[in-house]
Order: sequence, then C-alpha cells, then structure tokens
Amino acid sequence: MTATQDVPALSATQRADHHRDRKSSKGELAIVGTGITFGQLTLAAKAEIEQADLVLAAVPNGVIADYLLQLNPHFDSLMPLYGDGRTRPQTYAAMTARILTEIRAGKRVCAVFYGHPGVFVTPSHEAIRQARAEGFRARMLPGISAEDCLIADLGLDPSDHGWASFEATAFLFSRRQIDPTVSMLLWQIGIVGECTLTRYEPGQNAMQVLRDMLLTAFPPTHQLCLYEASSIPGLPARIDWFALQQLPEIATKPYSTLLVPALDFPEFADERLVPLGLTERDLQAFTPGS
Amino acid sequence: MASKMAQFFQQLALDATALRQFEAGGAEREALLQAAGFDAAERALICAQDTTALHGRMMADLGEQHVQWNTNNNNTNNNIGKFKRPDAAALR
Repeated sequence: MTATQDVPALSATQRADHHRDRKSSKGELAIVGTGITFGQLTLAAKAEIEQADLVLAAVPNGVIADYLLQLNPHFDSLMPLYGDGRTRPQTYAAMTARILTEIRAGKRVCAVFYGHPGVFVTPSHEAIRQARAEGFRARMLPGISAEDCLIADLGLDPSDHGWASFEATAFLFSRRQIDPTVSMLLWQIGIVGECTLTRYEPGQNAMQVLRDMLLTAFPPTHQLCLYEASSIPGLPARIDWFALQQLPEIATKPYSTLLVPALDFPEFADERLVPLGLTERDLQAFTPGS
Repeated sequence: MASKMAQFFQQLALDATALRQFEAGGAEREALLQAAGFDAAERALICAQDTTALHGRMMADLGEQHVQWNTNNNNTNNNIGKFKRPDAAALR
C-alpha cells in the first residue's frame, strides 16, 4: 500500500473543517482568480480556496461557480452586491467591506474573482491595501485574464511588436500619440465612451470618434479583431476580423476586447548602437532565419 | 446545490476525447449529450451555445441569480483611468 492510499479521501467539507480547525487566531486574506473558463484555476489558487475558512466569490460563470462549491462549501457569493441600484464604486466598496469584516473576525478568507484577480478588479486591490494597512497578511495570486486567452487563441506574441493595453474609454479620452508599430488592446470596447452609466453599449458616436482617432495612425483597411474568450469548455471564442473603417458597425458585448495589431516594425535606432560599440550587422543573430 | 450541466462541462474540459466529440457537433455531440442524460430541452439549450443563457441556467441550478454586467443598470464604466488635470494641485 502506498503512502497516498494510507490517507483516506476527505470530502470538501471535511477538508475545509480540517483547515479551519488549524487556523491562526488572526485573519488573513488570499485573493485568487478563476481564469476565464473552467480549467484555468492554478493549483496554488485551488489550495487557497480549499484551505480557507470562508470563500467569497465574484464569479459570473456557472461552470466555475459549481466547482468552487465542490472545493469549499464555506462559500458566499459577492455577486448580489452588484444589485439593488448601487453604482459600481458603491458595489466595490461593499465587496471590500465584506472581505475586511470577515478578516477582522479572525477568518482566513479567500476572495475569488473571475479572470485575473488584479486585472480590471477594483475591490481585490483595495481589500489587500486595507488588510495590510490593518496588519493582516494579504496577498494576490495571479490568474488567467482575457488577454492571456487572446494571446493563445490568436497566436500572438507581445514580444513581436510590443504591446499596449488600455481601457477603451480611457484611451478615447486621452491625448496621446498612437504608435502604429505597437499592437494595442482596448478593453471594454463594448461600453466605450458610455458615460450615462445606464447603458451596455458604446456611447453615442463613440465608435466613430474612436475609428477617426485610429485612422490618424492606421489605414482604413487595417484589420482589427473583436475578441471574446470562451467562458464554457467546448464553446468557441469569438474572433471577428474586420477593417478599421467598419468599426462603428461592429456588434459588441460589454466584455468584448478590441485588438489593434501593429501595422509595421519600428525603424532601427542606429544612433543608440554606436555608444554600445555595436552595428546593425552585429544584431543579425537575433533575427529569426538569419 | 449542484449543477449537472456545470459538472458536465467540467468533465468535458478534462476529457480530450469527449471534448473533440462535443466540438465536432452534429450527431457526435448529440450522442454525447444523450449519454450524459440531458433531456431534449437541455440538449437544445447546450447546442444553441448561448453563453448568457447557459450561465443563467447553471447559476439557477446553484440557487444563485445570474448577475451579469448587462442585467443591472449600475454600470459606471469601470477603470477608465486617471488623467492629468489643470486643477490637480488644487484638488489635493
């Protein structure tokens, strides 16, 4: 009989109770992400969930939510905090307050967020800041974001052209030079420029203004991609390529992401090689196929 | 509470053969879904591939309301970034 067989299998409830019995008297916080679809939860995140006294989750994904309940029945959803007419800042404050209340009560809390827990997630960062300020142990584990899924699904490598990532409305409202030699991701394109705070579609004329902004650096025929990662195993991601000039006609969802691929490679900055004692010829070994 | 549909998709993600059968669609997918014990309405729901409807169904199985971004009217266009403002100093 192997050592593994000597250990009786424990139910999720038994595992959670076992870890709760061993808890320290002082609360602590782990923030983890589930990834975008089932199967993307890391082993370290899974262990944090299993060993927590309480799991608090903001996960709008049925496949993953069911799995979290299997891992630890001491589970409560943060999703209802989105309701009852609260604004997003009020919802995030309520989530943060709930997490902190449980830590102060001496619990080992695992807060679970969808995707990467630090990407476009306000209460995760805030809860860690507040917990640490109050002297509690608090840390975030990385997860898989929509950006990671996009890189895999589209076969892109950020090292090829460089990679810039913006919230779409922030990009629209910013005065900045667009560099056509860098690939760009515009998150939340489906609510770009939407400032009435009540609608789940791009703001009036926002897609047209964004198109015109991009036309200052890219030709009208430049191919963009609207991407939505698969959130259920077996179901496909949305990968729609179209010309920049068609941007205002593209149907989006609030969780759509827009990829603006780089148009070209940058020019070589020879003047910076001279002080290094190098020439462009010396760098040929770095070029694939040379 | 548990969701049979959610657990089907969990198993699907971890079974490469079943995943290929599901992704093949048509009769292969139908046979897989029938073998999993789904009734005609459930099979139709899965084959429609409407992720909002599917998540809604699975969350309902778990006794939870499927709260999603486009069913509540409290969007504030999260994380739109920070900007330099001419009056920044006065605001400090």
